[in-house]
Amino acid sequence: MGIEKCSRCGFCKVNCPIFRVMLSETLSPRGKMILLKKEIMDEVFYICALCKSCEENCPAEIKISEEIKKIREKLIKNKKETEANKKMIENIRKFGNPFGKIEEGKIPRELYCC
Amino acid sequence: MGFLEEVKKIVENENVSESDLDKVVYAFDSSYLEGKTNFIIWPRNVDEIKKIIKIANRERVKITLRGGGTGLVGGAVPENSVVLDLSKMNKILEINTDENYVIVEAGVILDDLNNELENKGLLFPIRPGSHAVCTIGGIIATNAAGINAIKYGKVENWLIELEVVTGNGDLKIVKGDEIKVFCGSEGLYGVITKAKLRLTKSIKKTTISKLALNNYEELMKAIKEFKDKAVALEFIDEMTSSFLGMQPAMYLIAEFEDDSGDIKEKEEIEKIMRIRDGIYAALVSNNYSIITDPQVHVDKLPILLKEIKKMGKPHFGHVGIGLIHVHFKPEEVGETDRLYELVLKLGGKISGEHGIGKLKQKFLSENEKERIMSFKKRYDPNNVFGELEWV
Repeated sequence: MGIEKCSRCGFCKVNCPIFRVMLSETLSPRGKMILLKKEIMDEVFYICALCKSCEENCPAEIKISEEIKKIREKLIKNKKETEANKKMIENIRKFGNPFGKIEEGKIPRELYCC
Repeated sequence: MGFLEEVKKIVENENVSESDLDKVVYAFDSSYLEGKTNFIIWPRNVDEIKKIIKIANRERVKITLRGGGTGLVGGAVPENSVVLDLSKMNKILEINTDENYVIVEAGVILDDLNNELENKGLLFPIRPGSHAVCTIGGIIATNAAGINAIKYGKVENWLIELEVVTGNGDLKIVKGDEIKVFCGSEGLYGVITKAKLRLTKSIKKTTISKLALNNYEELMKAIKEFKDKAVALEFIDEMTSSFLGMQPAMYLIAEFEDDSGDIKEKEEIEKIMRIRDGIYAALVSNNYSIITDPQVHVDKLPILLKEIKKMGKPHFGHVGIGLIHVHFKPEEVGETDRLYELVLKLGGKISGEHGIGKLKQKFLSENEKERIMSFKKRYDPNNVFGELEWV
């Protein structure tokens, strides 16, 4: 189901880990659907855990995480990428993990998450 | 110094935004309206709110209040105003198990509250469809009802005391009859910041009866039979039942907190509850995303239901209190006026639980407008809160 079916009911926010911590509508799945409908491309689409909890509660059965992935692809094509994202990919290529060089018994200094 | 600069001194920078992205998103709630905001503030306590409202009153800045943003009539849609989002005032301050009350900040989400209360064998029993997302402040401002209204009534029946910041920025403790002024005031007279709510014991038992109906006479007979025993009486029309994957027919689902229902097996009850709770979702996914909430006297239901059937719109509702949710497609919004005119002719209300907001102001009577203006004069003389189209 596409984003045109979004009625902005807000049920997607219920278990969204980003919204529950940040309490910002703009960072919530509903906020992102509003931005998508307005065709606004922004790095805010990287602030999503792709956990799909929003999809569990969406009455219109919108594949929200798929929509966000598509936008991320477009953002990368347009060179709109976060520094954290670049670093994470570089670390995976170089060290096989997103944290960079890990010394035995030590916690990585920078923690990146996809 | 301008309003924004003064506000920034009161709340930390991260609690005020003038970003373009936030302005786009906070121009909406769950209605189909789109507004415009200058910036958004997330206060964290009542002292911050008092200071912000005092400045807004002095500088004649308009404020639009927002809870969960789940309103369906545009109450949280800003009109060239500043959005005050209460989401960060989300603390449960006291649960009293001896006297069965709770004190909460306005931004607490209803289900979060009930999850906490469940551990102590208690319940705040008002259950609107948006119970997982809506805030306590929001349901007080709209005097919400919901599925169990036939037994538990509306929010106004469960309020002991409110803390409110009025349009002058003054703190007011609201008790007694005055509670009914602020409950259902839709953010027009002040900011509800804190509430003391009465609680009931959590529900121990549920049974259900599900009836397929051949006509409205059967519906009325069933309502009469169950009205004093049931906690919820939900009607589903043929069109809605087909969207739910049921055999297309009119149904009445009656819920009881004792053994009165025919269905007693937990699994079967849960199956029916899932269908009932999925009605809104089924209608939205079939493009009927505009929901209305007219209410008539229960005796007038057959006339109303026959007319809605003629209009060809899917509908369901809390028939025990005469409240029907009629759904429309976005392109059919203009047809809602016909429904409201019919409801007023039947002596009913255009809104049983969603409120008037920005969408239904043209249907207010002169008496209702006068009542609103008299309270505006008393609590918000400089009209800091809300937009009234007739003013």
